[in-house]
Amino acid sequence: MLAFVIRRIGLSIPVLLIASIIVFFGVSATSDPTARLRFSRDPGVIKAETKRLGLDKPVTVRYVKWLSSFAKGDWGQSFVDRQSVKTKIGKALWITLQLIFFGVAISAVIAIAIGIYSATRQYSVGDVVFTGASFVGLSMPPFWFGLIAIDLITFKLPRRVGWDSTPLYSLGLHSSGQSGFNVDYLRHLVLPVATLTVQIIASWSRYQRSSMLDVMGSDYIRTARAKGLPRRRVVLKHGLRNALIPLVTIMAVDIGVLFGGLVITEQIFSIPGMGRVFLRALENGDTNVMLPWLMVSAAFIVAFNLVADVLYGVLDPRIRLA
Amino acid sequence: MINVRTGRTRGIGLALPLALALVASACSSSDSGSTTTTAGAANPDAKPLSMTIYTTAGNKRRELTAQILQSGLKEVGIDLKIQTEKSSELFGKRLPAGDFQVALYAQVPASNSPVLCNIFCSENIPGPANENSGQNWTRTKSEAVDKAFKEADTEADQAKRKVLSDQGEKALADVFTSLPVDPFPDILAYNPAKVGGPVLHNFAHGPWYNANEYYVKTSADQATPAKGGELVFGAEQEPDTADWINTAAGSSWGIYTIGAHTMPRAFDYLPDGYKATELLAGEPALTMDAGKQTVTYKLNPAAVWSDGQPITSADFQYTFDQIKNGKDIYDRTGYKDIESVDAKDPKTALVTFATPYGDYKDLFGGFYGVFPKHLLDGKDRNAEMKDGYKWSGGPWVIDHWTKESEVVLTPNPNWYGAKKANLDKMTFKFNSDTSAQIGNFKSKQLDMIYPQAQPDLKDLKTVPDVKVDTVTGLSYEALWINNEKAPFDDPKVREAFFYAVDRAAIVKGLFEPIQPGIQVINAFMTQANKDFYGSEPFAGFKKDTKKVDQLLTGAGYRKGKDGIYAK
Repeated sequence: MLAFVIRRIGLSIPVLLIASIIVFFGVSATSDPTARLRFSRDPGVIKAETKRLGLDKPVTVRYVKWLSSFAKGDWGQSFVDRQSVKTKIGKALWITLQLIFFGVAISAVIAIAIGIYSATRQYSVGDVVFTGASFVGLSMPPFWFGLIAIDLITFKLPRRVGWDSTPLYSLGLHSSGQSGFNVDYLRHLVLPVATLTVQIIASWSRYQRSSMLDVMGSDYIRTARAKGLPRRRVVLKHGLRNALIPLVTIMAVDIGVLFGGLVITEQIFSIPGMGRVFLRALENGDTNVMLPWLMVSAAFIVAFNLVADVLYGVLDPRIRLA
Repeated sequence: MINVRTGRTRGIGLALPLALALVASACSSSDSGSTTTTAGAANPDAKPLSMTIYTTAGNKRRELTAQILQSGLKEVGIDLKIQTEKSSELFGKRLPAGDFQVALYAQVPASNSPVLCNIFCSENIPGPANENSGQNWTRTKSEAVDKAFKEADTEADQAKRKVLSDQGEKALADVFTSLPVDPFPDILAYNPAKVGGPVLHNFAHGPWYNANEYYVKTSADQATPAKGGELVFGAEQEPDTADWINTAAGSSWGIYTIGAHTMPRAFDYLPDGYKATELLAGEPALTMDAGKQTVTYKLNPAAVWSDGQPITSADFQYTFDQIKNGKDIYDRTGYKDIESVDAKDPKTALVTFATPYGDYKDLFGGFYGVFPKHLLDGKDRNAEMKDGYKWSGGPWVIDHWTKESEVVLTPNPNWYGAKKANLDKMTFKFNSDTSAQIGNFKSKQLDMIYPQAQPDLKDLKTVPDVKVDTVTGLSYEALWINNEKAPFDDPKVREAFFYAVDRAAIVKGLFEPIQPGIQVINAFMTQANKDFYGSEPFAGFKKDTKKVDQLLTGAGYRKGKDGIYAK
């Protein structure tokens, strides 16, 4: 197992390097971090800024310099606001982690419950409703769902029922002057987490249903039933554990992708997470931020892929990793 | 000072480019009445009159403008392709390199001085002489333009500046350099049942420049200001720094949210023009002696910083020194023409210019303001200021600035002005997605927003408890033409293009529902610039298909069977 993990980590290093090269050269070729200064009336300012940022050096030299600094733990400063990139990404990552934690936890519980229900009551009215709803959920892009949720929940609903203020918020994670885990935080969290979870629940519940159906049709389940075990025990203990194996691996992979993939949700709800950091860096051609962002996001993807593989072995002892 | 609103990505920021393929029309006749024969179809080598317009990605208004333009030009016989790019690519690479035929973007003047020499004088064509940083991206070359705008920049007499500016604009129209199109409505949307106080437009310092007069209403008809409470405003962008002279500055929103409330400045730029602020004891004296321009600022004896220390002429000296001699300065324009700042006494600053400078009222104000010497001298100014500062010379002080989230201001207890702040605090929430911001405003999470002009804002007018106040602002959009790139290297084609564009249709399609009666601009400034907007030299360029045909035929073009001119 340990050898497998070490080998997988070793293999991921060249993947990260190649990704960083593609991003660095791609962003450098298409963006100019001094673009904003094109509107200064001072002709010398662009040259001075180009020199300050090291943009006057060949792109290969810049890349090697960045890589060696990064390897030493020096992530540098943002080209744009001169904030420490490490601090910037650290803060954003913590915020995105909160969204992912709640989003994944809620999605997992709901998706598994729907999957079990649909599989054990195949073709029932409930199964058909859940199946239809999951296809609706899959086809709703987060930017659309988020905006509709803001309009319905924070505007139309309070007007309809005569409330003075909105029950849920859609602006950041705290009201002004608030911090920490409290009711205000939860009222801010519901809509972005709902936006994040709709497609995930729809997707995971389909996997869970399919997997559960496979398991429930297998011989050992039939044997368990024949032995007279209670239905609840057959489903939850013997069926669910095995049916979770494919879903857990998919969940692990999806979670890794989420670290860099919440651009839309974070943008709509003004949540200063990893997605917003990426968007701002991309707009400004800020390779100093984009590359560490890429490394962190890619590291999470690699790590969670690894977790998926390891979990596979843990959940099914017949599988041995080598 | 002119900035360009770069069309920062809106919505999800990943809008797909709208590049549309050339459509081969089956039209067999033209509405121009011209002969639709030969060259295009008969000559296999004839190239269609086709061009690409570049604009920023993710901006609905620009996408709609380009689509209206494309449709109108096709009717006339000109093919237009649309290409959107992220702003750092468009403004950082393509436009300075001259790798475009026509571009669509906005100019956002932050003062009343149009400083058109910057974008039209031939010395500012990007090249070795200006280290490729000149902003004359349209490659306009005209002696008459150069002469008029250069003289306007060094003329201190406002009446003469207007005449010179007019002359320059006429010269621009004579060479068909580029085509001004639409002024932007300056839109304020707020909850009139909660937001009290004179809610005013200010094109340079932002609508909250008089926020010290705002108050929280407890009833919709309350007209008497009350003390206390909080108002929350939506801010489309977050400033990258609060060091207003640093290269990371230059954001209008930095001034709207922080700078205008905390930095003392010599002049306010109001819709009626410049007005001396309470920092000064009165209008500064302007003298010309042997060609040397001198401005004498008499400071208000009561003017103090938030720590109680007086604002003095030494602060003017420090500000001048930092801008002229400091490192990483955003823009030294005007300050580099200053020869000296003498502190005759603590409350008198004598500013002497080495060469005359017309827009002197923008100095020690505008986007910069005056910096406190006693707090910054000998220190790293950028480190002290970039993340916000605890001092103030305005009606408000920064309480806290949580990056990517909000900035909160509270009243400056030592504000020397006549009107003390009514509110306990005001909060700016950073919310860069326009659609989401409108949703947050409708649900009263925000009390007021100042959105960029977008066509779909008309829907706000139907929302209860919302007042949408719209006037023509200083910002405008134009079709910027590369005068050196084919087919626009031929003045006849440029002139034909001017007559092919239906500017009235664009303005009506974009803004009529938001601001009924809004007019096309016929100069490179808007009607809101009362000091300069004058003779409308571009007024004659209205859609005229006969003239287009006449001009293009004269330039050797003929319409092909597809209805598109070719040569």
